[in-house]
Amino acid sequence: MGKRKTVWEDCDILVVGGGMAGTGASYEARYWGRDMRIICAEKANIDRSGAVAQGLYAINCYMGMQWDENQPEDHVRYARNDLMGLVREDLAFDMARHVDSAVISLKNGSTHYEE
Amino acid sequence: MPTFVYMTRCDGCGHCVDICPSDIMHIDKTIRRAVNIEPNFCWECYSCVKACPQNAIDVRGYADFAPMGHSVRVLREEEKGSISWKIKFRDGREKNFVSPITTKPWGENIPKLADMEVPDQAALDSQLLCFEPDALNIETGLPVINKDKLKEGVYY
Repeated sequence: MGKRKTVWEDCDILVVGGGMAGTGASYEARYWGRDMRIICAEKANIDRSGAVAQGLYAINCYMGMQWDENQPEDHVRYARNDLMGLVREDLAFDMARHVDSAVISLKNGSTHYEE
Repeated sequence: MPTFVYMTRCDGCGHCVDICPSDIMHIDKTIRRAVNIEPNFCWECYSCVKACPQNAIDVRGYADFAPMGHSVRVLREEEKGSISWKIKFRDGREKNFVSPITTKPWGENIPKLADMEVPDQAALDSQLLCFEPDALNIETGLPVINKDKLKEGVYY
């Protein structure tokens, strides 16, 4: 821990954390807001950082909607039981319905996170 | 299960210092080798083990369940697109795993968002993400929540 220097930055969108979730959010932000100033702030080296909490959770709950393996309703049920009922079902549903396309974009190398 | 450094292999290049998410890999000023300065804060994330060009970093098992003689080594080869794990058990058994880390050649699929079509206002107002609805691979479009269809309980 050496000396800390404070840098002031202006931005339209600030993404806190540069793990799988944060870099994915930054990518989406740039896609939808081409002229925006987006900052992805990460405490460590962004090459391989983070505990991959939300990001890995999302990958682990890949739906396989195209084969009807699971549907977002199944994920809501799983999350509700996992968290003993304390869950925003609409948020769990929203995350689950976007998982399949997020995995495809990761597989295509469209985002920079590769293990 | 903190990391430790083989002093004879480490050349003090500092890759582990850069990559460590906890900032606990440091270069010792006297011996000019890497050292884990705070083993109890180590996440065992293996980032430094994978980053070390000299394969000089290893991870120690906790004394209560892995007292001696075992090892977990990893070799990450970006140019081959593979990651290889070698697990040695105390009784001499050995297991090797090789897994792909990417489906495309490494570093060639950098996204060029500037070349992609700028989404119009209608797309911006929709609930779709980038690459949707094509990447969903379903013809019915983005699922919409219906409280009546939510499932109760767990059925395995």
